[in-house]
Amino acid sequence: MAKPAWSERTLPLPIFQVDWAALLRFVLAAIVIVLLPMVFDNNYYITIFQGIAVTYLVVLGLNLLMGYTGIASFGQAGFVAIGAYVSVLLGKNFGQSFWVGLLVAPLVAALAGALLAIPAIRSRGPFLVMITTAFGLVVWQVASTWAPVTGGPMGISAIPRPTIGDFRFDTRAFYYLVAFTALLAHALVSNLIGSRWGRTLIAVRDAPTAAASLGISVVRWKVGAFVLSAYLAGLAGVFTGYRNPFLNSDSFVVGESLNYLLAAVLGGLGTVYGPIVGTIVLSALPQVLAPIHEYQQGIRGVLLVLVMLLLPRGIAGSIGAFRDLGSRLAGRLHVPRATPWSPTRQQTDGQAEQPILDAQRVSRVFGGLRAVDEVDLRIAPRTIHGLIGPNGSGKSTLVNVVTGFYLPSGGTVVLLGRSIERLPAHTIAKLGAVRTFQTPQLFRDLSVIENVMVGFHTRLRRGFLHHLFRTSAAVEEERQAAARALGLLEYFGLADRALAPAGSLPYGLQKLLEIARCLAVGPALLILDEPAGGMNPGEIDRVIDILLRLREAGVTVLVIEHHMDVIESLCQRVSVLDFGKKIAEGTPQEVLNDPKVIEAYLGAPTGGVGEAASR
Amino acid sequence: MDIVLQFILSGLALGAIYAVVAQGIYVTFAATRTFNFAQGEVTVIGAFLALSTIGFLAGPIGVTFPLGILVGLLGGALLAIIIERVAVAPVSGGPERHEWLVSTAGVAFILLNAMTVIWTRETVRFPKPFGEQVIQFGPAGLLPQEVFVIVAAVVVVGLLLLVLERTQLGRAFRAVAFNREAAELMGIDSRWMAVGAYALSGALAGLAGSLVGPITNVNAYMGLNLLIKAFIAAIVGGIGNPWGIVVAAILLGIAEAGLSYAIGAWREAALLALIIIFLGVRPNGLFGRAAVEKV
Repeated sequence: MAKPAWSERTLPLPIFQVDWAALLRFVLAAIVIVLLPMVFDNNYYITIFQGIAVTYLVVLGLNLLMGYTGIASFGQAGFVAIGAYVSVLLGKNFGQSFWVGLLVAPLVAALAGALLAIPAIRSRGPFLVMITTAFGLVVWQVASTWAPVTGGPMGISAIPRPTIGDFRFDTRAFYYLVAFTALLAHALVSNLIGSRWGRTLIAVRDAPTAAASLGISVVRWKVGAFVLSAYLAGLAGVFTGYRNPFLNSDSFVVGESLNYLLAAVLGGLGTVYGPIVGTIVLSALPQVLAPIHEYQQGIRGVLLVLVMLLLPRGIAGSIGAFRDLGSRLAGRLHVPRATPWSPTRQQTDGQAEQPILDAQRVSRVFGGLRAVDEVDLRIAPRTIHGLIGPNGSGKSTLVNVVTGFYLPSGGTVVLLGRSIERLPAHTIAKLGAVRTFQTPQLFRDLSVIENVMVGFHTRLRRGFLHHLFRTSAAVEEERQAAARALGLLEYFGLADRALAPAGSLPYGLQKLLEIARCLAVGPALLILDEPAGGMNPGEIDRVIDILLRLREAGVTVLVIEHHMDVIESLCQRVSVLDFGKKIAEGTPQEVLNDPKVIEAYLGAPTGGVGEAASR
Repeated sequence: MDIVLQFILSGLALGAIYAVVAQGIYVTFAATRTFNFAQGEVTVIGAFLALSTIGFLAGPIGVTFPLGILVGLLGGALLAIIIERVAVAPVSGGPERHEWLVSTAGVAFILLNAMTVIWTRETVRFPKPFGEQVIQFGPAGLLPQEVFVIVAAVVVVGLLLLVLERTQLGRAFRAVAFNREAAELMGIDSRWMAVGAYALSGALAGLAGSLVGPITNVNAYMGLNLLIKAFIAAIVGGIGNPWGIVVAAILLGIAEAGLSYAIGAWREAALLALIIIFLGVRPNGLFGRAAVEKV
């Protein structure tokens, strides 16, 4: 297969090498931070700038949670409160310095985030939001009720300024401390978003089911995003606690959480610069609205409604320049050349007789319906095994049981000698059974190449800290993953679309991309749910061609399909389901001539044409 | 034991209020898969409207109180219709996303601000239409207003469930709740159903506000607490199960009254923390079953 000429050229991908433009922006921001209090040399303004930096930390975390992970939180003020009280009380009651609080308090907030995440992400959508609201309310109520410790609404007073040796952080120095913390946090979070971390979060947000099918533990990643956003809010809390000599519970009412929310949605969720835009607008509001301050809250409410109605992508998401600046696909750095990809042969040594998959007497019952009824299915290595049957015969249900999306009501499933019937989907994917879906479930907002890179998830080794600090090891691993992904796309003839958003592909190519993404996992068993469904004849030929090449290479495949020509040209063995039971198995020829199979598809031979048509 | 009876009775009165507001959440959620984050504020506005009506008419309380309830109820319904048309129906993203929650949270801000401007930030005393002579039930006692709230809630929730289960309108409503698209194909206009559900939920909220007013007095900021409690009743009871919601609301009220006796001011924090833990263990509520997600 001739490589497309363009792959020799450099491709714009932002993730690799030192991003000089980002560095320049970082330095510019630092200069602005340094100059601000010199230009506006007045404690009133400097206090406002402090507030912007503190709020920014919270909004940054909220954007990570809402924008990239798709989890809304109405309770961030709770984490801010935890950060504030833990750090201030460490100082007041235990004689610890500000710096100990800065280290410890955000970790306590992060722990609270982990604890809250467990009930929160078990609930869906709106319920999760209400649980976070309740959490914010709990923290506020504890803060106002536990007066002996927190001072309640009366507060804690005479909180000292942080010091280093003899140096005392006055208003201006404290501003520098917060602002540079915020800038550092921004840079690190941007690193994460541009890395495998951000990619995985977007995958979890766009198509959680597909993410699980590629070996991603959706729960773990959602908890991770929760913890990180709680950490950042806790960090903001430490600065909130020490900003003024006085701290009381009024700073942490639920309305504060909604203010953070307003900044995040106003700026633009899921954009890199949205949080800063939103934070600045939010912080400017009290100044602008000072003459009519009794209407401030209502005006914030109007803004929340208007943004949702007219500007759901926020300011940064709606202005092209901002969007591109922050886009994960922007930048002008190069992807290495494609690493040519070819399928790996599975399980060739010694175990040739062992089936890859051995499912015995598998059942799945929905209410009174036996969707799958004691089905046996053995798949020999290096074969393409067909699974056919009329609509509603239980094919997809069987696949859902085998891949861990449904628990079986009975029976055993063994994959490569391991019992898997009780394992969750992402673990089964890691063990080697990887599947596509009837309607392709792509990560729509990721590019084509990134979709494939998500498929490499289980094989990438560099963890959180590597990506946070963009170590050369992490960058190198990402570069190699991109090169291999590009190679895989070439194998599928999709390389010229590598940088297009996956959601923009035509339907047939989306289905191809989904298969490519599965192969990235390196599956022992590739399970395809109607790979040719909804395709035109040209596209079907393309699928057959690719699957034949995979078969020659020795990949083991289980394929559900309604196109009998596809089954005939690919499969060595075919199993037939009807009303949840397996009614036949054999070569395509044997099966398609089996009277029972013909009856299942066309009705009983005595029934005549009319009945067959009504089937 | 006397004290247990006492907080069961007090809890019934509290739970009755939560049940009425929670039914409002149930009807909108069933019809549209959304609810109104400003439901608590609508409830409080109901109370303020009733209060202002009573003050404006300045007649005998036996006459003005029912009129106040009526005004609170109608005002709540009207407000909820406006909210549905302006802040729920037109927002993008669909019910599984958070856009409608954010916009109705914005509405909560607006209503809260409106209340503090039109009425006050301070707690206002609500007249006691039935006096303050405690009615004894054996060793325990309730205020006459509390008894009235329980009776009114039983009547209202009973009527609501009767309508939902026995009338053509109720059947249409349940059809939309079960499968909106199929219901639309059968000729039910789900848009009108949405408006109707919001109107009903607003009416329930306004009613609840005017019922609770004489017990708690009225404060603009008490809406969020009411919303959270009603919402908890709705998910603990299983959000598709109106009977379960009534049971959960009553249990919640009793738990709150009991905790209030046991730990006083800590009851709110303890109750919410317990509920968060409970939902971690049973995310589908007391009676709910885990839905099988179609893959």
